[in-house]
Amino acid sequence: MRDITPLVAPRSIAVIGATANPTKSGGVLFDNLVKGDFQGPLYPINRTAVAIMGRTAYPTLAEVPEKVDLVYIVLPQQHVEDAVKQCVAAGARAACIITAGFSEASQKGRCTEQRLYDIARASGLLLAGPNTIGMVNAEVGMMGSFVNFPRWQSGSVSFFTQTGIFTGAVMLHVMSGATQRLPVGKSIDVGNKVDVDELDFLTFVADDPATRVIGLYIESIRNPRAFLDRAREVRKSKPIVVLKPGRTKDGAKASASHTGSLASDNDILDGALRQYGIARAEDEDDFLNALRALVMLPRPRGKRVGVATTSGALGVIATDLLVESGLELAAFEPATLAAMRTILPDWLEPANPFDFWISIDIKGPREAHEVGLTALFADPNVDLVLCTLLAPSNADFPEFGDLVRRLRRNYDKPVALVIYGGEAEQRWTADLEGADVPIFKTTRAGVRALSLMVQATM
Amino acid sequence: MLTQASGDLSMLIAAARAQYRNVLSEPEAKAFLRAQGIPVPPGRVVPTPEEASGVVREVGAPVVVKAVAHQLTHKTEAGAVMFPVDSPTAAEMACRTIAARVAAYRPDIALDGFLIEAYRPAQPEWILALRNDPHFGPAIMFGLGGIYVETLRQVSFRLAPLRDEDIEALLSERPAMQLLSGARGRAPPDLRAVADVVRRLSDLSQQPSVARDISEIEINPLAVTENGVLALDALIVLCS
Repeated sequence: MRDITPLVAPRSIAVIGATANPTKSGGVLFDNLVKGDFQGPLYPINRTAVAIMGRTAYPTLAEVPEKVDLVYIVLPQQHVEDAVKQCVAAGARAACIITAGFSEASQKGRCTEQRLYDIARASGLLLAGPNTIGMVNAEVGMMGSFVNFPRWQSGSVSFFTQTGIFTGAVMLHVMSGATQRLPVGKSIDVGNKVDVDELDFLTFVADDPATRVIGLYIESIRNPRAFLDRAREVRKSKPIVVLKPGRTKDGAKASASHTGSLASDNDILDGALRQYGIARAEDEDDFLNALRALVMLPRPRGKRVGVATTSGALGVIATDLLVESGLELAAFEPATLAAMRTILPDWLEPANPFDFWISIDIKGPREAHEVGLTALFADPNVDLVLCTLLAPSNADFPEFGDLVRRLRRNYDKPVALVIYGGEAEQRWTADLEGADVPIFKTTRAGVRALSLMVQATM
Repeated sequence: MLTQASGDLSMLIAAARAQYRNVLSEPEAKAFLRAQGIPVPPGRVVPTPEEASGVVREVGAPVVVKAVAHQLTHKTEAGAVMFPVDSPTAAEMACRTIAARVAAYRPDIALDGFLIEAYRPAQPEWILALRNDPHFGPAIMFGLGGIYVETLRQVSFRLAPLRDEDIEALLSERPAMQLLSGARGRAPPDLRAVADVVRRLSDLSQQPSVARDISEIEINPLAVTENGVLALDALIVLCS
């Protein structure tokens, strides 16, 4: 077990390859670090510049007046090995190699990458990368990425990713939304994962008070048993969602047995993640939705779902999806049913899903939603709430946001809100900004988020 | 002349290694499983067709007759399995038929004898296996077996050792496993016996000799009835 704090939360940063040229990766990354307001000293390393963005530049790392925690290396591929040696010689604690063109590119690159690892290991230098977009830790103001994020929403989700540009693309997608942005405090992309891995990361976030929810995009697990054992401990207080693609990779090969031909890493991993209580997302949408639900909502106490809907069809669709994903429909208490009856005509009996579109006609949208949703939230048999609500103008009422905020606050229960089309959708969504109510575009997305939430927490 | 296999793992492995084999034969695998408390049908190996009738009288008809040969890994494809065989005479004839089929299918294979066992139907057929995965370590697989393994893929894995809750989850994870709680018109199977055999295989995976020498143990099919479970066929692959 080792401490990766110098890499993830450094006190000082040097950038080898920093430049004033904004078209270069080294220029964007340094610019992001400066504008992100990094809290410690920043040292641009550049052979010719005197200063970059007002920060004194040094020709080599050796001339920097302190031993820095973290060195970003943004150089052409052929200079990276020398830069890593500089880091070791200067006593740096960690290095993040942004440069691509290693094991992901060629056999020669693989050999070079192995040499980088050997050099770092011999001296205890922590390595992230190569082939990464970099690392963000909003808490210390480290926007160490060559992708520019104009509006980063900080918060208690911590990411670990093993990919090149994907993390940047996803983060840009997340952070460019007007509402419902995922609050990400740390996003650590280790690219080809030559050294620092998912186990190191779990060890770090386990003791990180700012981390409440963990998201991992991983293409491999270096030491599955150690990782799973650690994950089982960490998930008790910090739920974990894993996105690991490659589910369909055809592992079939000639074998004397069925197990031999069936047991791709994926089949075993799938069972292992269930066994260890780690939610597995299917795609990037699923991944982000599950994390949004987990960070916004309290832990579910069970897996019984109450569904309120203003569309019978969406209620049926929701029921299918809920049951298929291992959740259950709650049986309503008599008091709940009695409350629901007050907004229904005599000939209609309430049920779960509770379809109250007709109540909008009878009682008007405000009372229909107020009574219907309150009854559902208040029922002790309801562990999770799913609302699939239509938002045309005749279902709209000004207090919708206030109502949902009040219910969310009064009954500390997980809720997924699916708002379907119509004039009021945008206003409802805007009115719920900051209310810790995750809003989804489709019934499937809402149900998946609730079910992954249950997998990650129960 | 083939003798009854011992259930002692080190002897079985030594015998296999001496012949440069990394697969234990069905009778060897079953002898080992029986010694580990995993039920297998009553029966034994006979070296010649003439001796088959004696086993039928011991275990009672009907029986299943299977060719025994180390090189014959796909018995069904070779036509080397016959069931149900209803009488001592029919068992002897089945042995001769199987010998002729194997000779036609693979003339290079010499039969070591015939396995005669009490016939027990399995509907559906289940599969239970231990796989010593190089990356994940020992894992237990359970699901719908027989010819459905690849097509329906109603199988799931758990890492060994399994806790009680892991076994419970494993036995209910796939839709097909609803059959374990009884289908229309049938007595519900002995779920406790299934859990027990899963636990035994999981425990087995923790034995140092198994962890070191065995790459896979596969019971397919595993019969599950209201009276318990039976390993109808078994395969053990050694680490190469």
